[in-house]
Amino acid sequence: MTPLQHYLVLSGALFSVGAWGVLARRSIIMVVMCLELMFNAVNIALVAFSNYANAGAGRGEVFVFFVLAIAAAEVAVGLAIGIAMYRLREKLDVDELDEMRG
Amino acid sequence: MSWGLSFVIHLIAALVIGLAVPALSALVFPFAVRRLSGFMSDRLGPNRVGPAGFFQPIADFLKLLLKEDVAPLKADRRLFRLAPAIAFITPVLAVSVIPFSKGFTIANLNVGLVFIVAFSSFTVLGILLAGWASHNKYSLLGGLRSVAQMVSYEIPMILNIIIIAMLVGSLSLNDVVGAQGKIWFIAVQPLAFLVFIVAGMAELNRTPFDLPEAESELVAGYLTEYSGMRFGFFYGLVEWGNASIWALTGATLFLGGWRGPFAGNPGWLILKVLVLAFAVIWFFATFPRLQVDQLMNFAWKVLIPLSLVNLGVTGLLIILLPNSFLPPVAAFSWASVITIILLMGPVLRKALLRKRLKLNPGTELGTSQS
Amino acid sequence: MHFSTPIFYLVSALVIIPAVLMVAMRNLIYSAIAMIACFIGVAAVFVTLNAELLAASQLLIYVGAISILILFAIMLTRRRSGAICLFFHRQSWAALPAGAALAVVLGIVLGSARFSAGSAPKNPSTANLASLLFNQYAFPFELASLVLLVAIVGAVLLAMRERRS
Repeated sequence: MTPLQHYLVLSGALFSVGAWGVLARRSIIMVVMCLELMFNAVNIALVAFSNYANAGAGRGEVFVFFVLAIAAAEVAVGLAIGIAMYRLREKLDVDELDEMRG
Repeated sequence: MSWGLSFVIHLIAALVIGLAVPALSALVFPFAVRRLSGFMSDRLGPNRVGPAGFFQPIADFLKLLLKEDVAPLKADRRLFRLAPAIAFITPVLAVSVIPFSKGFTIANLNVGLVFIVAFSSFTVLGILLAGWASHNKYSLLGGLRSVAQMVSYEIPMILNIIIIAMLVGSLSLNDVVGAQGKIWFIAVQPLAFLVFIVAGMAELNRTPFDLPEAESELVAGYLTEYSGMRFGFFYGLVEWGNASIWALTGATLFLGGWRGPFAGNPGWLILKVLVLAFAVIWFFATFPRLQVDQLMNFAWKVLIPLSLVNLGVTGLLIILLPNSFLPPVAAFSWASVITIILLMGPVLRKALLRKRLKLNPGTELGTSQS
Repeated sequence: MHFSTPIFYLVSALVIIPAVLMVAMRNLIYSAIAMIACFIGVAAVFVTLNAELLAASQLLIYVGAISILILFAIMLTRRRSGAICLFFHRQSWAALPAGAALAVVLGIVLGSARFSAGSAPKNPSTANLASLLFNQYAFPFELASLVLLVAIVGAVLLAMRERRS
């Protein structure tokens, strides 16, 4: 069987790609999308642990359900903020949305 | 390598059946719609090609195949070509979890019900991308409308599938069929069946919910720019393939699946699918189209609360009477269906009156011009 | 070598290649499609881990709901800013090394870690999952539904166009 570490390395790689995207891209929608990638990486790790752990099998999968719910809420609110910003400023650029800077 | 062999056999079976079901529906159903709705509205329908027009679908198919494959100049060509293929994933994959007879399911998953719902998201995606890629405002609006409608009506659909899963105590479609040995679930949960039919019509963009294709306002919705075989793909394989999947799911959930007299076999399932498809065509010939605001209101203010109440009461009865919950559930469901049917006339009349008063104040019901 | 290992590498490729393409492509719509491919790959990973219910939920929630939301947002905001002009910003040259460094560190740490885990995967059944979710984790479950409700209301309030009277 595939060792647990393989899945963890896959999860880490996906998380890094997501982090790269969050750091590199400008569009607020793109940032939200990359955050979703990082959520997915965490989900892979949770399911892998849940599947391989000796005790408490299934708990990791339960947590994935919570991650799914929170991710859906996060996307809805994040994109709504993005659209509201777009209406207000007509841009989606995270670099230029700096009204809150003191 | 026995697992390798069984994998190959499963793959071939999945491909053959997964492609055959949408292909057959694309050949049979559009023709049946034209002939039957012609019959219902006292017209002839296509009757020239072959005896009683039976070869019409083949002629249509050849015509679509030979037409030039056109994409609009400003369209995103790659997406424009990809969209029908993405939408086509749904019917091909969803067939594989349907049990066709005892022990004959391509993929006997213990969460088959969830997979059927999950696969339907590919059609939504394909339609959205088709509307976007066409670079045409009618396509885009039609696509957005269609997607909003499908996503909204997916909720009552899922809620009613959950009701059946609760009655069975399993998410496997084989168990669903197995639980209907004595009585079909349409007799236990007619309310869920009604909501399933209505939500299914909306999910499939069929009349009275075919607004995405409202030709007077949106030309042909997301299909506007599609022609030739790509149009055939969307209209025939995807839409009617999904109609078949919906009918297969409905027959499995509510009408006993492959069960029937003289030992259950796939023939009974096909018969039930044809009955449900006939209902779709009957609606098509009978009902006028809704407005877009009415459509959304109907989903969120009628169907979803109704399904939630049904879900709650059914769950409560199952917990209170764990051994004999079928009779009380059936009593509740039948009582609510009869109440709804009795109340429908007065409520509709009232709503009509209110609307007429709003449109031209001062008129009474009956005195205004019809 | 057991047959599950090549399948694992195939599925990993289905996850990682679309993810990299998603970050690197200029067109937002193409990025979104790559993201959807990556989500489907993650669902395949769940299948290899015997989590069919989660795979179906992944398809249903990520492909059917979250991707559609993101595509809607892209289509609603495209008009003037355009999908093309939004690309890398001033400091993004540093992002790739940072991401690569993170990947190397995570890879070394996770790949060499020893866990007190069994080597053979177990198979938590759907019933087992349900009893965990609705008994032990019933309260967080209800809280999650509350969070979703608040999110719906908040999203509608934020995105709704203010009516001018």
